[in-house]
Amino acid sequence: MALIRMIAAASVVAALSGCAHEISLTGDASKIPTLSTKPLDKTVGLVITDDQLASEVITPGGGGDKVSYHPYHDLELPIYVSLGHVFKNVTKLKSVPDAAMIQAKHLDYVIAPTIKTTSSSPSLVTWPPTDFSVTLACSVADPSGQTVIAEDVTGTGHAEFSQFKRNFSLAGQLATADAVSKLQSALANAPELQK
Amino acid sequence: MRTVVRAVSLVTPFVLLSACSVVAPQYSPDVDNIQSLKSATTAHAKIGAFESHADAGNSYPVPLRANMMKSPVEDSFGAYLADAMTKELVMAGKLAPQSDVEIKATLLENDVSVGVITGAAKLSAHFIVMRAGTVRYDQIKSAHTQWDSAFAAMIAVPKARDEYPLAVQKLLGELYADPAFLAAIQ
Repeated sequence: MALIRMIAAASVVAALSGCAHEISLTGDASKIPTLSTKPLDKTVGLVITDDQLASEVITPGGGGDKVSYHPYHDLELPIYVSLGHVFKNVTKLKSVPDAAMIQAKHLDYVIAPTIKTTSSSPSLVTWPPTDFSVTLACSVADPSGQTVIAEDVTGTGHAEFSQFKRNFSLAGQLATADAVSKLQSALANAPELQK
Repeated sequence: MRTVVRAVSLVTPFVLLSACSVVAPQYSPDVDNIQSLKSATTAHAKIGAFESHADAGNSYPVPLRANMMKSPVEDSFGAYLADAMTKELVMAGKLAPQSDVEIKATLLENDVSVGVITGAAKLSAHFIVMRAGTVRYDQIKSAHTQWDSAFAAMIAVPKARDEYPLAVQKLLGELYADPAFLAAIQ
């Protein structure tokens, strides 16, 4: 009861101040399930720019409120960990590498993800989203810049009040875990990357 | 009557929040920090004692306006710092409990201010690296972070709570960026 009162009170304040409630999509990256296959003996560069890391997204929550988060910042670690399950070496890059950097870092592939999200809640009283989706579009390019494979996966997360009362970001974190799990499976099973 | 209702609806959330205890979020490793540790190719270390030195700028729990922020790890922010470093060493593949290289630390400053316009965290810690009983590294590192705050405590306090792990990430980032530290753990 106290929790419902707190969440409702937060909604009142947020509505009055015009703010969105901040949540984090990261979750516990150490719990992303590993693959049954050995990592491919390849080195990949994961490109996430500083502008992407700073970008904030605002989507609907419950009770007419909104939630805000930084998708690239929040998914950076889960994506990095999941790529580490697929490939032997992962290097994070702040920009698309030029030929010199590709050679210096011995990159076999360059991966540039784009992230799209949705959120919603039918609740009139509580603001945390009950449903969340994370769509990860990842193009994998070879050192010449040619796209080897493009994967597009969507992870979903659902959390009711009894589940999210201790973690208001739960639906988003479940969607993130689902998306990166699907991404690593899709990449590990892609015949184009086995060559 | 309308004014009274409006005043009550404005004041109620603040009353509900007053003197609450909040717990800092679990530490999430930073990818740049993991990469810095990975760059020390032959590094392997174990975590020794991490303590917290109580002081004016390092009280426990940490006050966030009328709220008090506690650590989710062993009721100590020294233990929180140890947990943070352990997670990053594990993800970098550099944690070795049998290693003769031991990292110890004392948290000296752990201050979070929650202003009406700006929030800020100031952290500093004394890090020591020992190898077979010999000190190989002995330095104090500091980090200062800042963020947009708000007048309403219901917005400002959760924001400050969520910013705390980012300040810890920055403190550890300062340590890992020191070539002398990376040399000491190899």
